[in-house]
Amino acid sequence: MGVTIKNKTIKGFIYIFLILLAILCVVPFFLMIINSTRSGNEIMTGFSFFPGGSLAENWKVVSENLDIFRGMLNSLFIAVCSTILCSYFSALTAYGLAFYKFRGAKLIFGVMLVFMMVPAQLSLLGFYDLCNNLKITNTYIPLIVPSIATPAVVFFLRQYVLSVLPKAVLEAPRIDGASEIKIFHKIVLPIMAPGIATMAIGTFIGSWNSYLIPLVLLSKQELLTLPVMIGSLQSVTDIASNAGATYLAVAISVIPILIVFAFCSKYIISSISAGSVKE
Amino acid sequence: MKLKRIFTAILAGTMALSMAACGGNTDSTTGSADGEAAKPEKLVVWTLAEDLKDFAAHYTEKTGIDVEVNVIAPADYPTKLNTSLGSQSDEVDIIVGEPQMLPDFFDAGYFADLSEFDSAAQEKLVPYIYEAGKDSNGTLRALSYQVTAGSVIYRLDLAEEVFGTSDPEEIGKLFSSYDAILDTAAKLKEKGYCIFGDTGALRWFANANTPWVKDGKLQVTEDSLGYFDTAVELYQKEYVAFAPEWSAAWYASMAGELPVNAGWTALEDIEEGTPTTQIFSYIMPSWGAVTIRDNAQDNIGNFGVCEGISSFFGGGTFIGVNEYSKNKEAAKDFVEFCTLNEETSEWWIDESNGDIVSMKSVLEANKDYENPAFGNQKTYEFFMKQAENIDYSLITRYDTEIGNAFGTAIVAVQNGEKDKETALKEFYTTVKATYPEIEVPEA
Repeated sequence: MGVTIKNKTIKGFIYIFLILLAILCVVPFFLMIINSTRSGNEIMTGFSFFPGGSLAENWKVVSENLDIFRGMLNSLFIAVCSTILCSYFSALTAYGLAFYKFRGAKLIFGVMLVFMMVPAQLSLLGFYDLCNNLKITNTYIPLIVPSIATPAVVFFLRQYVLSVLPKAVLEAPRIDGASEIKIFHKIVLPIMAPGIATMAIGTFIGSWNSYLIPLVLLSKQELLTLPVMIGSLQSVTDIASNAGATYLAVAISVIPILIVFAFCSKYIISSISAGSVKE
Repeated sequence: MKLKRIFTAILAGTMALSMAACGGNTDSTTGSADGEAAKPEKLVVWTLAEDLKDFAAHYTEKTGIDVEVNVIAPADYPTKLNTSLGSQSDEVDIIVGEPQMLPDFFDAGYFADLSEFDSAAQEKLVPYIYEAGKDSNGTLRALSYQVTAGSVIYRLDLAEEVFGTSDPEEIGKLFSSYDAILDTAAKLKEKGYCIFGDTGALRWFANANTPWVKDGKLQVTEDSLGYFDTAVELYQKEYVAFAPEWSAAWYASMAGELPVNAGWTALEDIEEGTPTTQIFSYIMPSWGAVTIRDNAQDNIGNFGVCEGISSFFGGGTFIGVNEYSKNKEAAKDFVEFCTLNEETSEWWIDESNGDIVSMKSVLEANKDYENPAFGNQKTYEFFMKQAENIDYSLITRYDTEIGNAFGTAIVAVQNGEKDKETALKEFYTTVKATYPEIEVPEA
C-alpha cells in the first residue's frame, strides 16, 4: 500500500516536471502566434495570452511590403535542392569511406573531421569573394551546390552505415554481377534510408533557417529567402507598426517546418532504432 | 519495403516541387537579363529605408533609367556592405549610411569621391549635411536629401496655463540650460504636469558644446555632467512621467492624459483610478515631430517647436556611390538628382508629407508655410535655423556607444544602485574597454 502511494507521488512529480517542460517549449511558439494578432504598441508594452484584434492590419503591412509567398517558394526551392544533394552525395561518400579500402581513406576521413570543426561564418568573406569572382552572387548556386560536401552528415552516415549494413549483404549482389553503383542504389541506399531521412530533416531545417549567407549573397528582392525578407521588414515602417507584422511573418514562416515535422517525425523516431537485416 | 516506398514518394514529391520552383526562377532571371540588355544603365541601390524607393521611381519617370532598390535591415546593413564591398564587388552602384556608420565606411574606402559636387553641396545644402558627408581628409563622399534637426516639442495649452505664454522664443528660454529645465520642471509639477516622459529625453544635449572625444581623450564636461545630475534630479523628484520613449504610455501622452508611472505596462492593464498626468514636452529629431503629429489625434495643432540647450540632429540617410561600381557616372547622376536638385527636393516635401529637406533654397521657399499640426507655427523656418546651427565638429564616431554607456551609468544612479562616483568610474571602464585607443580620465 505504502509503495503504491510512494510510486504515485513520484509519478506525479515526474508528470508535473514534464508538463512544466512542455509548457516551457510551447509558450514561445504560442506567444509568437498570439503576438501576430496584436499591434506593435501592444507587443512593446507587455505580453498577453489572449489574441488581439490587429491580425488584419498586420497582414496588410506584411502583404504590402513583402511578397511572402515568393520568399517561401525561394526558401523551399533552396532547402529542397540542397537537402536532396546533401543526402545523396553524403550517403555515397559515407558508403565509400565505410566499405572500400583504399589508400588515404583514413586521411580523408580525418580531414573531414577537422572541417566539421570549422564554423561556416569563418569562411564568409572568402566565400563571398569566390562567388563574386565567379559572378554567381544573386543566384542560388552558392546556396545549393556546396551542400554536396557536408562533412557532418557524411560522418554521421558513415557510422550509421557501418552499424546497419553487414558486409555479407554486399556479397550476394556482387556474386550476381551487379555493378558497384547499382549495388549502392538498389541495396545500400534503401538500407540507409532511415539514417538519411534523419539527416535530411536537419539539413532542410538548417537551410530553411539560414540567414547570414543568403543575406550577404542575395540582394535582389525577388530572390530573397524568407528569413532575410522578414529581416528587411524591420526597416520599412516604424517599429510601432511593424512589430506585429514581423511576428505574423515569422509565424507564417514556421508553418512549413511544422508540416515537415508533423509528417516526418514518426519516421525519424521509428527509424533511429530500426534494423536492416530484417528487411 | 514500406519505408522505401515512402522515401521514394518524398523524393518524387520534392523533385516535382523543385521543378516547379526552378521553372519560376528561370523565368524571372531571363526577364531581368533582357531588361539589362535593353538598358545597360540599370542602377542598383542598397538602402536602409523605403524612402529611396520613391526617389528611384521618380528618377525612372524622369530619365527612363531603371533603378533597382533593395532595402536591407539597418542591423544587417554594415555586415552586408562590409562583406561585399570588402571584396570590391560591383554588385551595387549606390550605397547609403546613417551618420554614425559613415566614418567607418569612409575609412574602408567604400564611398567614391564626390568632389565634383563639393561646391554645389556647400552652396545648396544645410552646412551640417555637407560636413557629415566628408571623410577625415575633407573629401566629399556622401550627401543627404533630408535634415534631421531636433527640437523641443511642447504642448501649447499647457504652456499657456502654466507659463502664461506659448511663444516659442519664451518657451525656448525655459529649456535653455539645465538649471532652467529644473525650474521649468518644478513649476510644471506644481500644476500636476510632467516635463518629459522620461529623463532620456535630455540625452541629445550631452555633447552640446564639446564632443565626447577630442584629440583621443574622453571629454566629460559641464554639459555631460549637467545631463547626468539633471537626469538624476528629475527622476528622484518625480518630475518626469516615467513613460519611456516608444512605450504605449508615451504614445498615449501625445493625445492627452496618461497614467503616472506607467513604465512599459500596457494601457489596459493599468488599474482604474491611477492618477493621471500630462507630458509637457518631447525632445526629438524632426522625424519625431512627425511621430507626434501622427499620434496626436484630437490634440493635433496643440504643439509648438522651440530650441533646447543646443541644436542637434539624429539619424538620416546619406547617399553615396560605390567605389567599385561600373556605372559610377550614372550613379553620381542619381545621387545628384536625389540631393542637389531643387525640383526633387520640392517634390519630396509633398511626397513624404512634410519631411524636412536639406536644400537651403527649398527650405527658404517654404519658410512661410504655417504648419497646422503645430499651431500654425512656421516649422520649415524653424528647422532651417536649427539645422544651420548644428555644429558637426561635435559629432564623433564614438557617440552612440559612449552615449549608451553614459545612459546606463545614469540609470544605475537613478535606481540608487550605485553612487555617482562608482557609476562614472564604471562608465570610464566601459569606454576604455570598447575603444582602447581613447584616453579616459583617471577616476
